Formats: sequence, structure tokens, C-alpha cells
Amino acid sequence: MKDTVTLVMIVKNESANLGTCLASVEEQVDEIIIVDTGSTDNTLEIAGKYTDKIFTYPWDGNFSAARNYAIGKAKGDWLLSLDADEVLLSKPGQLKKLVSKSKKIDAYMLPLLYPISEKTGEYNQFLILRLFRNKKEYRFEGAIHEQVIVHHHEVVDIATELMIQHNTVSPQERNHKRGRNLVALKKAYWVAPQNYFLQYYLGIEWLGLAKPKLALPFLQNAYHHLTDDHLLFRAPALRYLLICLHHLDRFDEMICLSLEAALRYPEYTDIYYLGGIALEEKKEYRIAIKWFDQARQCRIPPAIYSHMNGTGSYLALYHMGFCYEKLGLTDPAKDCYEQALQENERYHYPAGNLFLLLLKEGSPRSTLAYLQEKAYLNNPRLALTIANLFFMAGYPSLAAACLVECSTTSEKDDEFLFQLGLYHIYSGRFPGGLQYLKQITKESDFFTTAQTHQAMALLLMGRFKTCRSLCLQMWKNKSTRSTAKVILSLTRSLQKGLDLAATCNEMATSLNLLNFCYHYLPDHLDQKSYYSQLINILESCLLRTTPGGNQVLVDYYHDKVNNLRELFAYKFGNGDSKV
Amino acid sequence: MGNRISLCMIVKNEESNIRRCLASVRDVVDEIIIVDTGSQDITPQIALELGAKVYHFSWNDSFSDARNLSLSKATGEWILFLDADEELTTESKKVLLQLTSEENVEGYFTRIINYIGKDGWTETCPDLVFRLFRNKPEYRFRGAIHEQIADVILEKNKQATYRVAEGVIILHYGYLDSQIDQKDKKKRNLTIIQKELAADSENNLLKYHYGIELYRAERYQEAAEVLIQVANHTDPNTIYFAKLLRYIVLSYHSAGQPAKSLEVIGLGLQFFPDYADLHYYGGLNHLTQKQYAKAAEFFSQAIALPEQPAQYASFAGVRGFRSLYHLGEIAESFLNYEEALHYYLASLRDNPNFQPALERIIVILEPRKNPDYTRECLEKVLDLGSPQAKLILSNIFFNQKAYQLALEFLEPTDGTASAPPEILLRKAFCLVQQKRFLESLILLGEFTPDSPMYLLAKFNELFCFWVQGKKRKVQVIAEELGDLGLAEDTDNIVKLLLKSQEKRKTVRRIFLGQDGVDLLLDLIGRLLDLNEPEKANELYKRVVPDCLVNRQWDIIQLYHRYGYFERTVELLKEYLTTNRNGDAHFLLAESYQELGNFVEAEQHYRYAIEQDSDQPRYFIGQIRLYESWRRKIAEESPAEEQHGEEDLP
Repeated sequence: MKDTVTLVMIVKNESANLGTCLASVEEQVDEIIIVDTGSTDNTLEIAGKYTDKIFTYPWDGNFSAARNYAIGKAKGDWLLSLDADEVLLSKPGQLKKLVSKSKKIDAYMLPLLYPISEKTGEYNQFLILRLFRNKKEYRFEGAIHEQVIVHHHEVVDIATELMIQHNTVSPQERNHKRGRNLVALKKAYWVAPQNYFLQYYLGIEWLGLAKPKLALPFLQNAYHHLTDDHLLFRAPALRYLLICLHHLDRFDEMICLSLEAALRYPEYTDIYYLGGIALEEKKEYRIAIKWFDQARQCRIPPAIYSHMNGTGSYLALYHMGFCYEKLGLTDPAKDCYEQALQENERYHYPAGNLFLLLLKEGSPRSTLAYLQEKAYLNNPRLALTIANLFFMAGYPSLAAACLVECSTTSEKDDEFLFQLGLYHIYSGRFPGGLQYLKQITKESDFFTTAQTHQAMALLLMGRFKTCRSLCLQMWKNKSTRSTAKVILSLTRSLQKGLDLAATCNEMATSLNLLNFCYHYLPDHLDQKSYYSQLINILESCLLRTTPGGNQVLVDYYHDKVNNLRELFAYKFGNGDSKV
Repeated sequence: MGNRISLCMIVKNEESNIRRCLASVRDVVDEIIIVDTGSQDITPQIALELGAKVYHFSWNDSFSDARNLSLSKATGEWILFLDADEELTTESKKVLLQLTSEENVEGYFTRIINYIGKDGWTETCPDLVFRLFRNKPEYRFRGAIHEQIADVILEKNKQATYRVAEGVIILHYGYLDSQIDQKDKKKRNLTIIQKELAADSENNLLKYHYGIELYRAERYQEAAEVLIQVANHTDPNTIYFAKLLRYIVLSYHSAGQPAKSLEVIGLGLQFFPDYADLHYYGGLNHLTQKQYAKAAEFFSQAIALPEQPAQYASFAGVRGFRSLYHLGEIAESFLNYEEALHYYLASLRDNPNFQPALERIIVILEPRKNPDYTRECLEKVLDLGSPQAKLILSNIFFNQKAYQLALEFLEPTDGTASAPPEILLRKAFCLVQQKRFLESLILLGEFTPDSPMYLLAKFNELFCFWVQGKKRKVQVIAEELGDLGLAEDTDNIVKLLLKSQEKRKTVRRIFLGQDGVDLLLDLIGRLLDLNEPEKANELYKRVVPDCLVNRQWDIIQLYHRYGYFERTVELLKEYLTTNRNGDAHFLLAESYQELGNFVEAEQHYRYAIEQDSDQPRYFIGQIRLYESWRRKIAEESPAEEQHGEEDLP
């Protein structure tokens, strides 16, 4: 058999990820070598389902050594190196096809997609050398950020048909890794202060830990001293340098650097995007728009440039929209937001801006009609975002309408059920609302809040008995105890009229409930409910029996006035008229 | 060179105008040449009488031919051209003599003030026209309508220079509605100009006039399209370019295309940044788009601009009373009455005859509630002495249901004997509303059966007794009215009043037609004004509900206006079951707020905004509600926590 491929991995406590990783690549490789550096979970058990070539290597703080040990066990002609928190994105047979394509090529760089947020679909894209011939001279180097070094450029090619997708990393996990990396990198830096690759990595780690001041000198050194021979590093160094300057509010330098770099790397999308961001910060909206437009024209840069996805499409559009809005050009602003939504449905932020623009121009109803017509509400994620905006603006029945249409097509996750239930209740459709909320299981994050809203619905409906038994359930749970207490006293007060024997001194909870009440706006004007009484009781509770309650209420209405004034100013402009 | 002036005119059926015109040029011109194009009245005779040389021309649809005939008869060195519906101001005379002794000028542009609008409601619109030029045989009019000569002179004499004759002013009455209707001028002009354009489709100037005629004929969309084409082929330095832009702006605005109009304004302001009219119409367009802040910005800019150059033909008031009025309107829609009052007063100061501003001022002063304060305020800004002013004010007060003031301003300074019957009747009406029944009855008694207002007087007499509960008297008058033969609806109302006197539990409801409902609403309003809500309800209950369906909103507003908030709430709740709109929710919210029911009020403000969020007052209502709420809670606070309240805004 010619051109066999061996997957080589080093692992430690990867039971959560390993299965997915191996499943993604199992069919594509001929051999799997797994080197464990000291797992204490069932990592080895999972690995055993895929291969019998499992070795252990005592951890000595050196990634390269461990990897090279794994390579030493491999029999294939080619080596593919993956981490357990990555998966290979490829079609069946694609990997084999690639390695047998050319005799002259010894190594391929593959795009690594590194997610920023699962929810919005944003990710960074780098090139990384992970596929190479099994030759003695190709070994990992560097204790950390270990890389395979191939000295002859002509035998390295870029393959974009295969991609490596990194898992989403929780912020805690990421920071933990960063801290660990930093220790090792600092050590290495003392030994080799002229190693600009090291400086590049140091810069990135500091930046990742939100220390742009510390990151800056390293990134500057890396960018200035690395040459185009190492564009693979120089390009991200430039990109991170710009981002670092952004964090430091050094916009003028950002603009200068972008201008200079754009001449040198005219295809590099991210430069135009980041330059646009700097101009936007400087309120040079017209010029910023030109830069964002340039980014859009570049779209995805050649793979050699480290690239953040979206800078050539939806991110640039989102910022263009913002600039147009600042210039008072609402029509083009709307177009930009809408295009941004089309290019990445998961990136929902433009929906918020679009919503506000529509609301400014028209009414809540016309806004809903527009969004419906444009089919934005068919996308559950967007529908949820928009529904929430309607709800916050005080229109629960419109919020419900956003979800109702989309609820027929998509399967309902618990967030969807929760919101649907919420909006039904606050638009006076109690039975439906209760139905939805009841479907949310104990395991869900939304469970306790759903309980609170169910109790509110029962109160509004006057189903005091049911409400009480729900509250007793909530009482058992520590996190909902105070809510249960307040609602129980509300139940008593409602039943006995305005008798304030019920004392509740849970200020935060009462205020919270009062706030919920203010979202209530039933569809049907003749809807019977205990709404007025509820508000009156909550208010008297806060006023009479809660120490300091009156000041809290005064502040509460004061905030309401201010929020409304802000909305008013946004909608009608300040003019020279005062309210 | 001599400087004799020949006045040249062409006329047709101008007997009502020509005297004024010729009188205005007496002692200025040395001869008067009049070409009559077919008068059927005594125009030629009057002209002869006033010393004109009169020639006849058989009409061939060409104004130029007729005008050129008059030029050919002129012997003076200068030609002054006027139309019969124009006149020269007295001040112009001296200047004119000076101008004609200038050596190096071939002609002058003069100011013309166009009077537009209805009789008694006129406005002025200044413009610039070419009417004074040297008399040379090669200088002849061209074009069938909007006949031009200025460009002909330039063609014939490349060195010719023109000036603007600052001191010469022509007054033109031909655009007054009465005159336009009389002549059917718009249609005539359009037909002629279309014919001419057919023969000369490339003529840009002709097209310009065609566009303007289309605009005058209220064919706005076509006007805009034609004028845009003209603008694309016109050098921006042309003297009428500014006006052309304004016409395009106006056409789009009138065609209901504010966005396009604004686009043209944006372009126009690049050429003429200080053109007040563009700012003014910018404001109007933003106003149609409910962009209040931007509109206010434009109007404020218009006001701040300096005196406009003559070629802008700036519309009177754009830098003053008109823009100020709209600023007042904007302030009002933001419920800021103090600021609104300030603008309306400024508007009125700029043009004391601008009645809309006066009306708004009075509405804001709430003359019904504050008669003395209203009078005091008005005395400060207006001369209330003239009978005409009094009548106008009285009318406004009457419409605002401020009957006490309406009455006061009707009281003549001398005896009552000469008052016309309408005034007498109105006085009687106001007296009833003041519960001065006896005085009212005395006035009403003065009407004799031969008076055209006898019926109305009798009806008021009946109402006067009905209010006092004098059943017998009502009965008697009703019978008398019945004998006079009443219209069905009036008859039904009389029946309604009669029946409501009987205290029966079950009554057959009465059906009313359009006029009857109008009358009923009038009566309900009067009863509420008299603080007799039960009587109003009595009437309301006895009418078939179906015939009031379309007027429900008016009835609700009546109750709200007179402060019967509980009844307003009741009616509005019913109204909203079939008609959901922002205004109804808003009024309900306002009524609830008046009644101290903040919880309900809050919901209905939100409903109102949900229905229509373009109304600033809905938001302001809600903001004010929260403010009152906060204040109420702050006041309820225990005394020891009251300090620190001072710094709350």
C-alpha cells in the first residue's frame, strides 16, 4: 500500500473530546498512534475502541519530546498530528487523495478554524503544519507551541480542502492553558531572547489574558523582525498588533500601521477591517465605510494570511451599517445590517441595530411586519433575539408573534420554550404560556425562572391554590426560596384584598416581580386579571413594610423615566424641544 | 437721448382692473398703448377715457404677436410693460424716471409682488420680472405664452447690460383665487404652451414655463418630472435657476414625495446655501415624515437667514411667521405649550394678519377655562380695538367654546340696534351658555317670522326653556315649530327634547340622520358646557345607538374636553372593542391618569405606542405618568426620609 497515513496524538484526560476527534478521522487514516501522558480518567478506554497502539510517556513538561515519541511509533508514510479537542473536516477519501497528489511535496499546511463564539459563528483561521511525510528530519521542536520545522519551502504546500476545527474553549479553560503556556514561554524567552516566534507567542498569550500593555512590545518585535519568509507568523503578528493597539485606544497608530500594511499586503482583508475599526473609533465614519468596503471586496484572503472569519463579510457589514447610522443615513445602514444577517445568520447583533432603526422609523407593529416579510423570524436564533427585543420594549404579544411562526418548523429547545411561554403569559394568554413553561425540565438552566413566571401567571389568573402549591415546591429549593416567600405573601394579600398583614421584606425579589408585572400587556382589552391589584400590593409592600423600599421605588420610576427619555431622544432626535 | 416712456399693454375684458392700473402710472409714462384682443366689456372705452391709444388685435393664440403690435405703436425711448391686473407702487414713480436716464443699460428687472390666495386671506409672493427696456425695433417678444424679450435683446445686442431696478415694484393681483377662477387661466395657459412645445420641443425656457403651469394646474408629479429635465439643461448661473429648484422641491412635496423633495433640497443648498425657501420646504418635508427634530432644525435655519436676494423670489414669511408657526406646531406635538406659545407669538408679531398663529395661541390659552388670563395675554400682543379684530377673535372664542369671551368681544361699543341677525343669534347662544337665560330670550324675541333666521331663533328659545326645565313653554314652542314645517332631522331632535321631559322608564329610541346627529352633538356639547351631564346623558340614551356609531369618537372627545373623565373612560372602553387606535388608547390613558389610576394609564400608554409610535405625545404622556408616580411615592414617604427630595428635578 502506498501513501499510508498515521494519526499521531498525545493526550491527557481527554475523555470528553477524544471520541469525537477520533470518529472524525478514523476512516481517513491507516493507523492511529496515541501517546498518553498520564490520564486519570477513562481516556485510554475510549482510545481503545479505535486503536490498539496506545503508549504511555511520562510527562516531562516538553510537548515536542512527547510528540516525537509518538512519531517514533508510527509506520505510515505520512503523519497527521491532531489534538483531542480538534476534529478533521473532510470528505471520505480526501486525505488520501491529497497525500498521493504530488511526489515533490513533503508537508501540507492546513487551515485551523479556531472558534471565538459558538453562538455567533465567529472564528479565527490560521494555517498550521500538521500533515507531513514520515521522515527523520521532520520532528517537532520547541517545548511549547511546538511545531514541525520543514526547512525547504518548496516542499511545503497549502491545502484548503481539509480543515481542522478546534472545539470551543470555555474562558476558564482557555485562561488556564494560557497561564500554563506563559510560564513555559517565559522560561524559553530567557534562554533565547532573539527568538521572535517566541515573542509572537508571548504577545498572543498576554493579549489573550487581557494585558495588551504587556503584549504590545512582543507583538511589535515579532512584526518588525519576522520577515515575509515567515508570513505565516508575520501576518497574525500584524493582525494581533492591530488588535492590541485597539485595546490600548491607540487609534492613530492603528491607522498608520494599517495604511502601511495595506500597501504591502493588499489582499489582506483583516487589515482593512481593523483599519476601518480604528477610523470608526475616531468618528471618521465616511472613510471607515470605504475601508470596510475594501475589506468586503477582499473577502477571504489567501490562506497564508491568518484571518478572522467575517472581517470580509458580516463583521465589515455590521460596522459599515453602524457608520452609516452615525452619519444619519438610515437606508444604507439598514441594508448593511440586513446583508450582514444574510451572510451569517448566527451572528445576531445586527438584528438589534436593525430592530431599533425600524422601531425609530415606524411602529412596533410595522417593525414586526417588516421582519416577518423578510423571513428573519424563520431562523430560531434570530427570532429569539428579536422576540426578546420586543419583550424588553414592552410588547409581549409581538414578542410571542415572533416565535409562534418559527415554532412550527423548528424543534423546541428549552430556551425557545421558555421565551414562548413567557411571552404568552405576559400577553395574557395564560393557559398556553403555562403549557410551554411546564415542558421545561428540572435539568434546564431556565427551570427556576420558568417556575417564577408560572407562579406570576397563576397569580394574575387568580388561581391562588395552584400558585401556593407551586410556591411550596419552590420553597424547597434554596435558590428560589425568597421568590417563593414573596409570592406566597402576595397570594395571601390578593385573596384577602389589600390586607397588608403579609409582610415581605425581600426588597430585591419584590422589585424584580414588580418589574415582571410591568411587562404585562394583554392582547385582549377585556382580559380579566389581578394585574392592578398585584402592582398595588407589590408597591405597598415595598413602601410600607420594607425598610428603604420607598427610596428604591422612587429610584425605580426615576430609571423608567430616564430610559423612556433616552428612547424618546433616539426616536425623535433631541431637537430643541424639551419634554 | 430722450427718456420718454411708453406704457404698453395687451388687454381683454379687464374693465374691473384697468382703472387701477392706468391710475398708477399717471404722471410717469408719456404715452399709453393698449392692444385689445377682443374685449366684450367696456375695457376699450375706459382706456380711451384715461387717455390711451387703443388698437385692436384679432386673437391668434400668440401673446407675443399681440404684445409686439403694441411695441410697434410705441414712440417713447423706453417701454414699460404691464398687465391690466398689475399696478405700479407710488414709490416706483420717481425711481423710474431716474432709471430711464441711465445711459449704459438696455433693460431692468423689477420686483413684482404677486398676491395669492383667497380674498381677504391674501399672501404675497415676490418675484423678479423683466418689464422695462429700451424701445428698439429689433427688440420684440418671442413665445406664445410667458413671452420673453430679455433673451431676445441679448441675442440682438451682445453688449446689452441689465440691472435690477431695486426701487420699482409692481403689484400683481392675477394669482388671487378669484381672478384665476374667473379667467380659467391655468387651463388656457397649459393648452397654449403644449401647442407651442409641440413645435419647439427643445426649448428649455418654454419647458420651464410648461412645468410651472403644470404645477399651477396641480399636476405635481408631471411638473416635477418636466422641471427636473429643465434643470439638467440649465446653467446654474441662470437667473431663474434658484426659482426652478424651488418649483421642483414644491412639486415633489405636493406630489407626496417628501424624500425626493429633500433630495433636491440637499442639492439646491449646495448652490444656494442661504436660500431660505429651501430650508423652509426642507422643514415641511421632514414634518410630513414625522422627523420632528430635523424639521425644527430646518425651520430654525430658515429664520436665521439674512434678507433674500431678489432672484430667489423668496416666499413671504419663510424667514418669519411661517417657519415660526411650524416650530410652534412641533413644540405642540411635543406637548411643550410654553415653547409653542413663544413661537406662535413670534409668528404673529412678524405678521399680525396671520390668523392660524392667532388661533393656536388662543387654543393654548384655554379661553374657556381662563377667560381673564386669555384676554390679558392677548391685550399685550394685539390691538383689540378694531371691530374687525374683535369679530375675528369672537369667532375663534366661539369655536373654542369660550362663550364668555365670545360674548364680550361681540358687545359693540355703541347701541345694539345695528347688529346683523347672525350676530344677534350668536349672542343669544352665548348668553344661554352663560345661563343668562332672560337676556337671551329677550334677544331671541326680536326675531320676526320674516327673518331668515327665525327658525333657528325659535329653536334656541326652545332649548333655553328646556335647559331650565320649563316643560310647558317647550311644548308650546315645539308646536309652533311643528307648524312652521321642519326638516325631518330637526323635527326628530325637537321630539327628542320633548320626550326627554317625560320621565318614563322605557322609551322608544329615536333614529337620527346625519343632520340630526350633528345637532345632537352640538346639544350634548352645550349641555356639558352648562355642567348638565345628566341632561346630556338623557338625550344620548334616547337615540338609536347605530346612528351614533360613526360619531362615537366626537362624543368621547366632548366628554373629555369638559372633564367628565369617568364617562370618557366608560365610552372609550366600549369604543376600543371595535376601534383600536393609538389616539383612543392615549386618550384613555390620559383620562385614567386624571382619575389617579396610574396602573391602567400605564398600560394604555403602552398600547397607544404599540399601535402608533410616531406620536411624541404618547411617549411624553408615559414619561409624565412615571414622573407623577415617582412624585406620589416620594410624597408618601415617611417624613424623616423627605430630605434630599429637593434635588429631584
